[in-house]
Amino acid sequence: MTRRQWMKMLGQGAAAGMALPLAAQLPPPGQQQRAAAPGSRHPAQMGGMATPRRPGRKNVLAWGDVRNGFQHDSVSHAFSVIEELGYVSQLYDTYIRTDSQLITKHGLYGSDGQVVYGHDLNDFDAIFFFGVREIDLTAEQRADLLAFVHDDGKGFVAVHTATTAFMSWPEFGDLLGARFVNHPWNTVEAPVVVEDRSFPATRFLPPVFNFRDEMYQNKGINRDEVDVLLRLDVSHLDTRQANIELHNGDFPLAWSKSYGKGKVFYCALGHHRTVWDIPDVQRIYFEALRWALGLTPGEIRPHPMRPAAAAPVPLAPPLAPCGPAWALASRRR
Amino acid sequence: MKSARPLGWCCIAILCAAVGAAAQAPARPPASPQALAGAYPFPQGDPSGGRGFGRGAPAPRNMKTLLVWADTRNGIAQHDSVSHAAAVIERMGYETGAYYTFIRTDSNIISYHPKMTTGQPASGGPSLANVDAIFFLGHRDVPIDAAQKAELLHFVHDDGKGFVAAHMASTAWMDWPAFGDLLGGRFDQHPWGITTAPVIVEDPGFPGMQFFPRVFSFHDEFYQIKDFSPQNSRVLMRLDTAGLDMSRPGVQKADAPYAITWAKMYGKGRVFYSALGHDASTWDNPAIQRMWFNAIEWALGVIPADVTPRPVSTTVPPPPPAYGRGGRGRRGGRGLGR
Repeated sequence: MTRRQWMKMLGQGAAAGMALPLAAQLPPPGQQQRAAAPGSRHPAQMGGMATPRRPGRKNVLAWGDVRNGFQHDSVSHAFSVIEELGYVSQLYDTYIRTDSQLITKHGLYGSDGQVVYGHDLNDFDAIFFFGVREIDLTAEQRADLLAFVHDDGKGFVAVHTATTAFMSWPEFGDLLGARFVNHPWNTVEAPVVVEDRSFPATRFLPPVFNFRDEMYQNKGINRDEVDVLLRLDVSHLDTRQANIELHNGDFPLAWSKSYGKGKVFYCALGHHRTVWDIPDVQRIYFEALRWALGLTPGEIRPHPMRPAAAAPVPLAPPLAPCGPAWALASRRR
Repeated sequence: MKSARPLGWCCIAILCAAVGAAAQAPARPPASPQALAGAYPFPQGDPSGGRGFGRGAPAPRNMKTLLVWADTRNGIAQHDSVSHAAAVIERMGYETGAYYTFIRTDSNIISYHPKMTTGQPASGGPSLANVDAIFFLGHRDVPIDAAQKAELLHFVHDDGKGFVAAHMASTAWMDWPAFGDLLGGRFDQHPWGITTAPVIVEDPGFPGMQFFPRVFSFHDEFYQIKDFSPQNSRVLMRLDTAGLDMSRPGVQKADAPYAITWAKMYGKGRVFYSALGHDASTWDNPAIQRMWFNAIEWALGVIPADVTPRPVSTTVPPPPPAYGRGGRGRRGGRGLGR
């Protein structure tokens, strides 16, 4: 199977609402249709370019403001994968932005202050966040971002470096649920324990799987409020390093939580480009987005740390490249 | 914007059985005690061998780097197709290994010494110093300062890097004459709106053009291009005005030959522009994808092409049997397959 065939399968499964085993049913097509969000701009204002939203489709803002210079190499590929999943499944349209112009509910303005018509937070149903470190937002933008999740009940799916973002902004920590404190082992292969095998984004994974990536140490998880989905098993890693700050062996890698009325999902996997080619990783984020968009139900069930229930197994490797034959014939690798 | 996917519900239903079986199929090896060590080999195909390139370290020597630059913060509204176009360009390079792509919708990286939003030097990421070509999807008055403008011109003109531009790129920086020199033409409205029109391939020898019929009908928002001269650019495609309503308001006779795709040199740098690409589904068209892919390869200096300017043909090749919408010959026309 090639990557594109896999994506088509994911997409068709989602569209059919039944194809993927264990996937929760979609509401019937009629219920997906809804009127434009309150803030949607009239098509006449769009200059015929940005359609307000396509019927039955959600709008996802793939937001990775990397203007602060800490750009991970995988960000663009991750966005491309997320875009293709939405495009093929026809569940959502993706707007890729590495700037923060759209993080507002108070209208869009160009660099010289003139009005720019287009989508702002009122038009989006979820944010796929791959930002890093301190991001230049005004106080109004910050308030709008919090309200987008907390009051509007929209989705916030955050990736890898998201826990390094806005360290100086406590409310963002409340939204996300944890903060980054280093990656003590850098890129390492280690078992990952699936602590919640009923949540849509993790229910298809084996109980424990081996994974190689840059493993983050995320601090501040409150297990009374957050449903930890994936945890790094550190039993075979050196936990006596100086930069280890979690001393109870509890290293959450993915979780879901609520923030006000909104749905928040975080997963640390995704440092390397090739991680985004692993089918199970694509499905983690695809199912997380469907949940955050309100297309699939998923219960947030906080629980104490759970031990590994089985020996780790590897995940299926990345799929074959899916370029057209003419392009693959010129492959250079 | 409509879907390009022809699969109907019945087709999906048939697939369901296969999908269900396939999704359950990837048999996981039985758990074993030694599964801990080395059980999961790092995926093949990452030239860094899994180490990654760090934050902004250059790609390996044999890989070219492409910057998809789609700053749409100014102007009327972002085209809905921009993100899909950027993703298609990224995937073609990724899957073939021809180039690695950075997608950016800001303009901080348009500098040899990019700065963070704080004004401090950026610690990594793409910049004019480490990318081999730009794929430009910006529009209107892209916010870069005078120093950045000079560096952008230097990047193409003196460093001999590539600059590939699509559709709304010809609306960019109308008040900056040097950019007009770089690109070779300017947007002069789209008097016909979104329509189906015949397109003449002027140079089937340019990489990518051989996949188009000499005349083909295409459905898109066709730009009228002004300030264009066949003496400066090699015309690759132009509109066949015989198939267009030339009496519409806004049609400028002075804009002949109505070039919509061309290639040219700007100093030492290679420049390619095509106006095709308004709708997201345009970017799914295999012939269009090949056009962009080969244009990028040429702009990256991977494949050669003759872009010596020459006069536009005076005769129109015989028309296709029927002008149809781009689909696969529904009416027997020689439209482009999907």
